[in-house]
Amino acid sequence: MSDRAEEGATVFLHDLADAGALPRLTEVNRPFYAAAARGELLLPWCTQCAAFFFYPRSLCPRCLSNEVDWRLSNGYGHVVVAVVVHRPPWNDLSRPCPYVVVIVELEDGPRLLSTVENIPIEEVHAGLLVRAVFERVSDEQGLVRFLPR
Amino acid sequence: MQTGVFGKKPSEPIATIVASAELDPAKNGRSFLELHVAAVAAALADAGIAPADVDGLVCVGDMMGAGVEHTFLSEEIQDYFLFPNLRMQLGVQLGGASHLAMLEVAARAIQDGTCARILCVSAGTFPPIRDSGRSLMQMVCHPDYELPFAPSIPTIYGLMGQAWLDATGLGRDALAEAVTAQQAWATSHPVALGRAAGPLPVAEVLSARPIAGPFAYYDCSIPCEGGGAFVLSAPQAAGDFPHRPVHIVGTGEAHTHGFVLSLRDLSTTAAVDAGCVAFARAGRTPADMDFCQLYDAFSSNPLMLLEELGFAERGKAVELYREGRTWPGGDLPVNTNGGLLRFGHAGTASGICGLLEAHAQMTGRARGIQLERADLALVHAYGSMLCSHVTVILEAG
Ligand SMILES: [Zn+2]
Repeated sequence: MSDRAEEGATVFLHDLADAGALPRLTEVNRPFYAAAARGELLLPWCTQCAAFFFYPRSLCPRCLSNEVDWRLSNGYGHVVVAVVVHRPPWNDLSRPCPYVVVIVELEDGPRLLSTVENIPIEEVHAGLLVRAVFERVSDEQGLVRFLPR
Repeated sequence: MQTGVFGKKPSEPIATIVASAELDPAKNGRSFLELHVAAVAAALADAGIAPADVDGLVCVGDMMGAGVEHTFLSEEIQDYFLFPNLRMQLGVQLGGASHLAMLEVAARAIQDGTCARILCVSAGTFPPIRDSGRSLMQMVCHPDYELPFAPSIPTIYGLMGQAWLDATGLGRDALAEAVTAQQAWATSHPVALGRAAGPLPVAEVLSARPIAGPFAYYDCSIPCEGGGAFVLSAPQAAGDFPHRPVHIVGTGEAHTHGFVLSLRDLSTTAAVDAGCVAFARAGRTPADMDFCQLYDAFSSNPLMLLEELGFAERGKAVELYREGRTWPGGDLPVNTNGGLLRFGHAGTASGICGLLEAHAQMTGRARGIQLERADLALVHAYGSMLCSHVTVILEAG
């Protein structure tokens, strides 16, 4: 299902995304998804606040500035909370089940909802240290998932 | 006495619930409109009034995919009954909190004199969950930053429920206590959908097949069709109706997020603030309440809400269950019809059922166990993924 790689190297996962649940690319989300397809975690950055925010918006939700830039994150973070999904949300979900949905807080501040892969489900818990990995869905679109580190 | 920021003296009624009717929770496949028609007709009969006596109509907009033909639901209902004298007509949409939000809007229209008798209605059906899973999740997830990771509704509630368990150091067995207690209410209710299962010991709740995170089968509500309606009037006119008046003495709202990834403290909801405002407006405290109806799509919710609304310290609500205080015969009955968990979760109509059960108890017409003392009640509901919270305090006249 995935390539194990040396710590620090970019890892790509495969065959997890559900074709019926992929986002429509827009001007606002395109840089995020294009970066993830390249194996980079690119986050929106407010030049006024000098801080990241998430998710991508056309303006900063803190100060309403539309001077929104993009910066790379190192992709390191920890699990805030984890839930094992035993019953998939729809009948024809293609990925294997059970799987673990988590909220991850990045060292850079923002929080993402995602999954942790390649780990026994009972080992995912709050506080687990993780790093971002990528699932390339197309040349324009990648999903950000996490592995333990 | 000062009126303060709330525009009324504490315990002064805002408006009065004078009649109500509830559809039996069922799985009969009745249409969205048919369910509404049945609820409206029954509530008018309960109030002893005709369509011409109603000058306000409020309903809850479809949120479970009933179809585009119901986009203008309030107009469909108006047309079906040909209500001739409406001065206000409105559809409200705030997820499971819609029904208490509907009550708030209607109560204000009574208070400011816009209307004298307002009919509030909501009915619906929970769709087949996993057959319509993608569209169901599109409704409640961020389409770009949550949906691709295939969370289910129990997953999202599970993230918040697990965060609360992690914060309090409790385990899944605490959640099971709420299910077991609510089943004790449901087994005495003639139409509760869960009644046939008989008593549900904690061990049985814990060993049911797992769904997501801390939730197994019995930790999740029972999908069904249902709903009902109620009639509001001015407190001074409550004597025109056949039942004991049930006054709305306080309401409060609070909102924290639209999508779970934006909720900073996953272990606490906006019920804390909604409850404070409602109690302040009512001039009441949790200790004054005879019973509570707490929206409970999942088993973690009544426990968290009891703590957040001030009935127990954080992490201690489970003791109210273990001591039997929330059970039949206890001094703080909670979800006296079995709740959404064991009575049934009627999709779009879900949040009206707790209010209708409170009204039934306070007018001495409970179909299950009738409380001996039902003069003061708290009803709480939340919308979507624990986003929008509304608390209502009721006091019998
Ligand atoms: Zn900013």
